[in-house]
Amino acid sequence: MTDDGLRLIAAALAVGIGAVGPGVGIGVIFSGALQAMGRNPEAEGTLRTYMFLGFALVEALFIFALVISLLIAFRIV
Amino acid sequence: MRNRILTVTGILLVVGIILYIIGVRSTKLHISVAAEPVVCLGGARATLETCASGFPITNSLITTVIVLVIIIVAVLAGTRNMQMVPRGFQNVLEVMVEAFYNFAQSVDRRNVAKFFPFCASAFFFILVSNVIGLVPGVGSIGACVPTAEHKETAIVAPVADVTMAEEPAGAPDFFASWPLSCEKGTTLVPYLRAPSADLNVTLAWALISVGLIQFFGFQALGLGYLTKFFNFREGFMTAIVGILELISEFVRIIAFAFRLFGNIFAGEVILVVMAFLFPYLLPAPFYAFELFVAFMQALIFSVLSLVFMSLATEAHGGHDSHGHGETAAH
Amino acid sequence: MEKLGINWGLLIAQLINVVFVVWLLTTFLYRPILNMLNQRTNRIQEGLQDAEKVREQLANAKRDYDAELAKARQEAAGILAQAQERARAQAAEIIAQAHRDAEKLKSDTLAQAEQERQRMLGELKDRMAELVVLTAERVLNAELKANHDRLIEESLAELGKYN
Repeated sequence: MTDDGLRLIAAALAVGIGAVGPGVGIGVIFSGALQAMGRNPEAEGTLRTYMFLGFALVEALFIFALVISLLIAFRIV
Repeated sequence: MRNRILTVTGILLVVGIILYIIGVRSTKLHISVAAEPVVCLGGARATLETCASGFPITNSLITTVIVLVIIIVAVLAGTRNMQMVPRGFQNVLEVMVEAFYNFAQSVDRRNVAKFFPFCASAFFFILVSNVIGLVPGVGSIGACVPTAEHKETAIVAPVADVTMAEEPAGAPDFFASWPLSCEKGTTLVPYLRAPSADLNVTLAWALISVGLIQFFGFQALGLGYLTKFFNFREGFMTAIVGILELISEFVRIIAFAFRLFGNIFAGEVILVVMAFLFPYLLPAPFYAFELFVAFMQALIFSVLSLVFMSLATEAHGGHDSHGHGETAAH
Repeated sequence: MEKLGINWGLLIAQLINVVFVVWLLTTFLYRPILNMLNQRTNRIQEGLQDAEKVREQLANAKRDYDAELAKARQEAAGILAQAQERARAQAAEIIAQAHRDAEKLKSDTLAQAEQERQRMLGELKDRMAELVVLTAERVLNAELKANHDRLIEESLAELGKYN
C-alpha cells in the first residue's frame, strides 16, 4: 500500500465517519423543530431562527470533517 | 398518461443503450476540485489547475461574469420602468423580493432593513450561480489542454483521470472526428463552471458575511460586543465559553465557505459520475435533486447570515428580552 | 491552499464582485422595489380610506336626497291641495257670480219691460184719451158740454177695466 493509497483511505474515512454524527444531529434538530412548529405554529419565526442556528452548529462538524479530508487528500497536512 | 411515460422512458432507454454501445459516451472522468484557468492572462500555464505566471482567468470567473450579466439584465428588465400596477417580469422580481423580505422580517423585525441587502443579494447570486452549474454544457464543453508531463503531480490529485478499461475496437475510429472526448495526454478544461463550486467565490461570500456580522455587532453594541468573547469577570466557565465563541466566529468563515462549496461541488461530482456510468436517463433524477439542493443552499447561506447577524446585534445574557434565548446558542 | 484552488488574486476579485453584487442589487433592485411596495401599500390604504369616505358621503347624500325628496313631495302635495281648494273656491265664486249676474240681468230686464209697458200704457192712455175726446167732441159736439168731464172719466175707467 502506497502513501497515496493510505491518504485516500484516510480522506474517505474522515469524511465518511464525520458525516454520521452530524447526519443524526441534523435529523434530530429538524424533527424537534417540526414537532415544535406543529404544536405551536405561532412561534414558527423564532423556532426557525434557532433551528437554522442549530443546523449551522451541527453542520459545522461535518464541514470540519470535509476540510480535514480535503487537507489529507491534497497533502496539505 | 402513465402508459405514455412508460413508453417514452422505454424508447429513451433503448436509444440510450444503442448509443452507449456504438460509443457516444464519455470515456474519461475528470473531476477537479479547483477551478481550472481557461487562459492565463499574461502568463503561461503550469499545471491543469494553476498558472505559472500571470492572472488566471478561471472558468468559474468567466461564469461569475455571466451570472453578473444575467443579474444585471434581469434587474434592468424588471425595474426599468416601474409601474404602480406590476406586470410581467417586474411582478416576478417583486414577488421574490417581497417574499424574501417578509421572511427576513420574521427572523428579525427590528434590523431587517440593515440585514436585508446582503442576505438577499447572497440568496439571489448563489441561487443563480448554483442553477447555472446545472445548465447542460456548463462543465462539459471546453478545450483540451495537455496534461502536465510530470506524472507525479498528476497522482497528487486524488480525483485524477479515470479511463475506461479498454476502448471497444472499432468504435473510436468512427467517432474520432466528433468532439466528444479529448485525445490521450490531454484533459478537458471546461469553459464554464458553477461559481459556487469554486472555493474563491464561496470564501469571498463567507468573508464578507462574517465581516458584516462583526460589523453589525459592533454597530449595535459598541465595544460591549467584545464582552461576548472576553468575559473574565463572571467566572471561569463564562471565560471559556467566550473564547469558544471567538473561535466559532472564525469557524463560521470556513463553515460558510465549505458548506456551499461542498454541496454544490458534490452535486456536480454526482452528476458527472452518473453521466459517466450511463449518460442516458440515469442523471435525470439527480438533476431534479440538485435543483432542490441549489435552492436550499442559497436559502441556507442567506438565512444563516441573517440569523448570525440578528444574534450578533443582541445584547449578551438576559439583560433585555431579545437576548433571552442567547444562552441556548452558546 | 493552492491545491484547493484558492488564489489570492481570484479571491480578491471575487470579494470585489461580492461588494459589486450587493451594491448593484441594493441600488437597482431592493430600493426601487421596496419603495414601490411601500408606495403601493400607502396607495392601497389611501384608496381604502377614500372608498370608505366616498361610501360615507354617498350614504349622506342618499339620506339628504331622500329627506329632500320627501320634503318636496310633501310640499307638492300641500301645494296641490291648496290649489285644489282655491280652484274649488274660485269655481264656487264664479258660479255664484254667474248666478248673481243672471239674476240681476233677469230682474233688470223685467224691470225694464215693466217700465216700458207702463210707459207704453201711459202713452196709450194719453192717446186714447185724446182719441176719445176727439171722437166724443166730433160726435156729440155741443150736447155733452155740461157734464162731459164726468163722461170722460167714466170712459177712462171703462178703458182701464179692459186693460
